[in-house]
Amino acid sequence: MEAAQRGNQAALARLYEHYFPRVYRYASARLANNEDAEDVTEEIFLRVIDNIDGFSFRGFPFGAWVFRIARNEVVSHVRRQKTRSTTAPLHDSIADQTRDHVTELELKLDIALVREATGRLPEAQRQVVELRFGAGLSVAETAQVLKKSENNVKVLQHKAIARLQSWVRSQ
Amino acid sequence: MIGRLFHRDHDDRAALLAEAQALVDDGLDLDFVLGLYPDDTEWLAPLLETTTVIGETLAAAEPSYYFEASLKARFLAAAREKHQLAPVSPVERVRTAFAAATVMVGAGALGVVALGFVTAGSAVPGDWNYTFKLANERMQYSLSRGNDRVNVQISHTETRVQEIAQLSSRGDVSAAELEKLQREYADLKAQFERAQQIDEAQRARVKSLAETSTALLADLRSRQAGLDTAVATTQRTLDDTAAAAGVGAVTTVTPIATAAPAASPSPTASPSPGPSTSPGASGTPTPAPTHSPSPSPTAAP
Repeated sequence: MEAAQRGNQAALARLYEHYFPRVYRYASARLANNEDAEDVTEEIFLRVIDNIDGFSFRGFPFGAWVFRIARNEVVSHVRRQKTRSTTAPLHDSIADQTRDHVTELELKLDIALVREATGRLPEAQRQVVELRFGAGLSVAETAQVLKKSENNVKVLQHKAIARLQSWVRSQ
Repeated sequence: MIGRLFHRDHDDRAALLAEAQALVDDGLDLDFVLGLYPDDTEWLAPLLETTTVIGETLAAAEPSYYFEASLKARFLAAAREKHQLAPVSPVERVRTAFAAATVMVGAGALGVVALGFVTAGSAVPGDWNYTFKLANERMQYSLSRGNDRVNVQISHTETRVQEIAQLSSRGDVSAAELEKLQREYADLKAQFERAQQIDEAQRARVKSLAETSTALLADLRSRQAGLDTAVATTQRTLDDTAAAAGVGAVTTVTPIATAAPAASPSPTASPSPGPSTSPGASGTPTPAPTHSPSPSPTAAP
């Protein structure tokens, strides 16, 4: 971590490789499409680089710090989207060539449905679900990112999953 | 009351779900985890299944390889750019300036020392680099051994004589310079006594040195009358050294103030014929009319 703060390229590369999948999944869980997820992921990582010098441990894990940035970026992106009320974007990203096209379609459908379902949750519950199951954070990390108590996060998680359960059953 | 009980039950379930979910997150099999909570399986199973489905679905959202790679390149480039353009803090600037100044002062000092040593050969007392000359001589002396040390000591004495000759031409000789010469002669004498035997070449050098010194002292006495005492003492030391070297008689200059006009002092003095000359017979290079044989000069000024 200290090496990354000094600008060590190898350390930064390791850091990127460790957090990129989770940050992308987190953004993808929240945002309407892959393009938005990519845009926000890029903004998150550039923000991380801009502010990495100011990070100090002091009982606050680096992962929680990264996801706090991620959360802020996602929230502000959603706000911007709302004010623009854009039309549905085109999916022009380059698909993974190794994946079967049919599977891709089903996967996108599933993700879209999950996004829709989580979108119906209250904001606090939605954030917990996105951080816990999108970014893969623990309850403790989620609590640090959201500045809530672990108990609070557990309750929010329980409520959110109870609501989503009925939806999953119906699918 | 019922509400509170309900809330407590709700909180307990939330804690239990979080606990079970953490086990699933750790990679434990879902059935195995449910088996750990037999009393709660009924309500816990559908929730854990839901989280599993949601988790797997969201985890399947993979970015394109091209995006991941290009963002990584931008991420690292941004880091490089940031560190290249990072503003230098005032403390760092002061530290850099101090380090640069230290290096420059060090280099300057090294240059002065090097210049001092290089140019010290022709230095005379009072010159800025004279100290380097003495340091160099001290080093030479320390590194020499045995008979070689005698040669080094003779060289040093010759150097002192040359320095006094230069200063004398400016009328700038002090008693301190003569004391230095006395010390050199005394050291030379000690060397001879220690070595017990010196070779012919050394003896010839000492003889020549003694004659030059004698002539120089005579000249000095005529130029700077205030140095009579120091001159006489130096002459005595010189004679003692010459005697220790077995050089024989060297014409000495008595410190008597009768040396008079000193029209043509020493330099023209012809050297004495040879080392075997007896103390009494002197080849006299000096202008002084009172040539006394060396071993027991009358020192009274």
